[in-house]
Amino acid sequence: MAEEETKVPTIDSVDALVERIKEMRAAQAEFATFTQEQVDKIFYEAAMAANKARIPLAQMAVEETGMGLMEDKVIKNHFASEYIYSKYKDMKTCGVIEDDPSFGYKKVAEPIGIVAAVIPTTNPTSTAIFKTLICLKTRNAIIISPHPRAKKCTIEAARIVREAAEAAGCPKGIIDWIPSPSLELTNELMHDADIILATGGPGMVNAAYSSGKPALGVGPGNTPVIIDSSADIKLAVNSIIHSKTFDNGMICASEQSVTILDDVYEEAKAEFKARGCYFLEGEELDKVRKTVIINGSVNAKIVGQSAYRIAQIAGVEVPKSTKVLIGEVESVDPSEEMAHEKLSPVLGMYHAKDFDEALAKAARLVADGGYGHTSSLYIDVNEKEKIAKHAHAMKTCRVLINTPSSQGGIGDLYNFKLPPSLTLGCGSWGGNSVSGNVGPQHLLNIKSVAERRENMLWLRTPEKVYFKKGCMPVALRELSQVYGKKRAFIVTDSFLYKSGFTKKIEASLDEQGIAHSSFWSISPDPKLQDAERGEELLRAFEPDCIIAIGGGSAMDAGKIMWSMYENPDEKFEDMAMDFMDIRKRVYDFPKMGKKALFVAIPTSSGTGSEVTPFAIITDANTGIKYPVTDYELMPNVAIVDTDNMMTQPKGLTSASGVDVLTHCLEAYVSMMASDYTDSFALNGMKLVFEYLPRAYDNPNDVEARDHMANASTLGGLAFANAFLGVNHSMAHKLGAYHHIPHGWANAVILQRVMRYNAAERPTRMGTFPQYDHPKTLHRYATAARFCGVEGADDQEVFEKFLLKIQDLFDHVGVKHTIAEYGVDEQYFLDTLDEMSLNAFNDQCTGANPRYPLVSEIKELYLDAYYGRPASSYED
Amino acid sequence: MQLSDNKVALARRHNKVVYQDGYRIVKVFVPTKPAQDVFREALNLARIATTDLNTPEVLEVSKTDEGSWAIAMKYFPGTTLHELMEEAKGTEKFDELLETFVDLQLKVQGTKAPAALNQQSDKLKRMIGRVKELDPSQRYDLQMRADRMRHGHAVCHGDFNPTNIVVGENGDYFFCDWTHVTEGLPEADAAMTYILLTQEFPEAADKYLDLYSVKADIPKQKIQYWLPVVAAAELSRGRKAQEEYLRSWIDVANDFE
Repeated sequence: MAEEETKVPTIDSVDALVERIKEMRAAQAEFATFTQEQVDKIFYEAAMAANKARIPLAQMAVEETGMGLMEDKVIKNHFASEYIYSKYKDMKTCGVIEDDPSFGYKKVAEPIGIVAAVIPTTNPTSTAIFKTLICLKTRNAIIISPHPRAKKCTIEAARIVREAAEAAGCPKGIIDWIPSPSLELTNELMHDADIILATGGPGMVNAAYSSGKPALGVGPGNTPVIIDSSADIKLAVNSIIHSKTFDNGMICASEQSVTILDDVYEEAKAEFKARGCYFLEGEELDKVRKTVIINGSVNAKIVGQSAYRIAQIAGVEVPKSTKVLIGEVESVDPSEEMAHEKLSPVLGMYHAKDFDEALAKAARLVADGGYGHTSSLYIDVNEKEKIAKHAHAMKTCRVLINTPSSQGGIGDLYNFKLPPSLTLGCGSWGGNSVSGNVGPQHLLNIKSVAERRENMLWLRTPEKVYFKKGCMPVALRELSQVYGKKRAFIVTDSFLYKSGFTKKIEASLDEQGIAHSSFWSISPDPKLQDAERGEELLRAFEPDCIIAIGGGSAMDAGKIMWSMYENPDEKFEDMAMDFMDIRKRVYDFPKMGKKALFVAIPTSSGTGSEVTPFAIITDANTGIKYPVTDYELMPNVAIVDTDNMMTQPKGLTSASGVDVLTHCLEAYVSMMASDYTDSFALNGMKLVFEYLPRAYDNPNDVEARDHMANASTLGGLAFANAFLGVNHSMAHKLGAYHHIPHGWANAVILQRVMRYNAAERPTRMGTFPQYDHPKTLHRYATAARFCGVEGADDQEVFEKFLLKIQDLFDHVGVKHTIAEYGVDEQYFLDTLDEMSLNAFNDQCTGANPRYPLVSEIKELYLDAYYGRPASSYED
Repeated sequence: MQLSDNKVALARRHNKVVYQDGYRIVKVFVPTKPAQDVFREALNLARIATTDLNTPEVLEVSKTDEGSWAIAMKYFPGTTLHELMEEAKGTEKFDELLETFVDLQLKVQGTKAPAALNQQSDKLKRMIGRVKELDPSQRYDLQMRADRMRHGHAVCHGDFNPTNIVVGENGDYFFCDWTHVTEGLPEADAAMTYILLTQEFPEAADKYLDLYSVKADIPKQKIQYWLPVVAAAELSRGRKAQEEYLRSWIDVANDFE
């Protein structure tokens, strides 16, 4: 009759099924356009209709399958309609379900399409209601393959939901079923559907998974329950009886065995007896064993039968009102019938000396056919340790405490966070793709719509940067006046120490009554071993302030000693670990400043180390260079006093001066450059062009020295935040392999690297959201114009800029090729491949606007070695 | 095919008579036996002959003068393991023979299956589908279970029992009757043997199961899982006498939540 009303032809052959699925696809496509309001109305009407039919459907199910108890099936039907509706009525399942405009991130829910639903005989109507409702809520179509033993009631439940849904505006034919299931049709259905929602034994679940379609399969359970000594015995025993008798024990989460601790065993047994459970004695136990399990499988005839009926079949005399048949057994091995899933009010009972033995038994029972399903424990909730131990030992996806497992496992009845469901995932342990209770969320494809966003950038600087000729003694006064420091430790190199650079500092400290000690054993390429020796002194002296005075070496060594002194247990290799994004690095750099304030005073212009988070140190034993980077390493106070820089020799003035220019240029074209760092970088490079030649020509030109000191610190501020690029990567290796002074190593390759970076068709562009297209040529041109270069277009300005740089380099004596620095050709060629790879891997490479290939770095080196005419470096 | 007057009937089944005729063993089928079944059996023999196992060589497939299909094979002189076991009943020798039996089965199962051998699960599904006297729901459950069988690659004799093993005069073993050979799972093959043994040597069946489980390193539950399936398949052979017995293996719940 129902078939005629809806005019849907019966699916009685593979051809009919294929035809029907085609029609369903069209209907589902229409359903997929429905709004949340439309869907929620359909969901409401369908749930109401199923709810109203709960009693007739329960009656039909018991009549047709001959299993279970009508009154309990009413609860299941009620649960499947009311609880599912209540839980998911407000859930967003259509279109945009989440929107975060500031992150530019949206989640959009789409239906999956056609759901193939396999419905078991044990819960035919409730599972049909459950699955059709969650499909309606998610705008999916559903075809049900009922079990032949329960097809009438399953189909009737689906029909009721379908009619209500269609009356509420749902497209026709969204819900359908196979009236006479067969192996062929069920297989065809699984292959044609978009997802399979399989509830059934392992065979059915495997079928779903092997169909090649995504499947939400769930499996059998063998729920073990433990009654601990601390348990409320009345609550425990009566909960177990309540659960075990529910629908005559057919719920897959139902208790199959109970293990009771020694000291409460008799009490629990007496309670079971008092509440109408029957303990099988002697031969009776064997008779029931052989009746319930045949050759390792459950006897179909006893599934969902009452305890009395099962006893009758087994030929055992028990009172008619018997609730549960209990067999006291010892073995948890599968050869013991009572250790199996029994799907009936038959319970195995075990005795355990202690909690650990009970756990071992339960774990073994789970392993025999209950992997991933449910386990339960009765215990005093204050026994936190035991509860945790139990939860850890059970390979089950639901671990229930003081809860009847049939009613507890399906959720929302005894715990209000466990979602209600009639399809319980068993995780990978049970061969399932889901481990939780299945719900609408499993029937949606969630699209993430992610808009492009740019990274948050930052400006990090020392707390204080003091500058101007003669500022040092003034600034140092703060040590006592502002910071209240008592003990200062001075780090410098031997040359500066001997030249008396520390005297002025010591005088100031003496004047302030600050005790002090000095360490001056720092080599030009600072060594880890120097730092370790210094750190010993630091530990002995226990300063509350460290003052590093010198060039990059002294300041870097000072930073390293500072970090060791602050965090003696940290590993050096960890600190030196490379990173892709300084804010996402794996290593968590330790906090600094707990013990000492760090003051950096540069004597060259320079490295900018007084304002940067970088330090490089070499292990003298292995030769390995450790570049350490973290904003924790940034000095607290920088004092840039030109008085400390007046005696720089010509060579140092030249090398450190061109280093400043490279810092500014690389920071300016870095992918991470910002308006903030640009202002430092542009001004810094302009000062170099203007004042480096003067400082070089006349060491006593105070104005030039002053501006170069500032240019150096400005460069430091720029690259402390925007970082550097491949020019520095390559220069680092020229220094390491061929000992070219750092500044000149930068300069000898600078123009080639600039031309390389300026390519409008680079082989690879750097990866950073704000670097949206190759634009380095324009950046260089902008910098050039700032420095006074003019020209018709970017290209012309760029070429003139390179010439301007060349003029500067010639003025301060930078050589033209690597060869001119006395690097042996054969040795250069021998080390070239290794050097190129190491330059590629240098921490500085990451911010370069062009992502370099190792072969390209090698070409650049070769060009710079021989002074070959610059090629275009386009792809 | 001509059979001599000296032929001796070795066995009579409901669908065939097996003769020894000089150096030949001839299976003469009932006239209703479909030709394709006969040729399939001969083809199975030809396929299994490509392995290292000692198996009957097919000499001829043709019709007898009476119009029945017959397969003639080379005779292998010796005694069946069944006979030896019968003689040894109640002695220690019996247990030794049972162990040999298991070893031989493992040897067959350990042989790499020749190409194009039938799949065990297909054969079982087909056979169960023919058992119309079984309740359709039960048939559905059992077919589903067979359908989910993993594809195994062991040679599964399908009718491995002591009557099908001949022990030659020099102690060689010879494997007969490859009608039901498939490529499949050893545990399902063992389930069939277990059922056959419960009829042939009821007292030894459980011992066989224990022995096989240990030697093959396959848990008993895995073997028992296939009992209802192979019992149902066995029903399709229409041996009326065993029907009630086989049905008792089938009555298990298959597809529960």
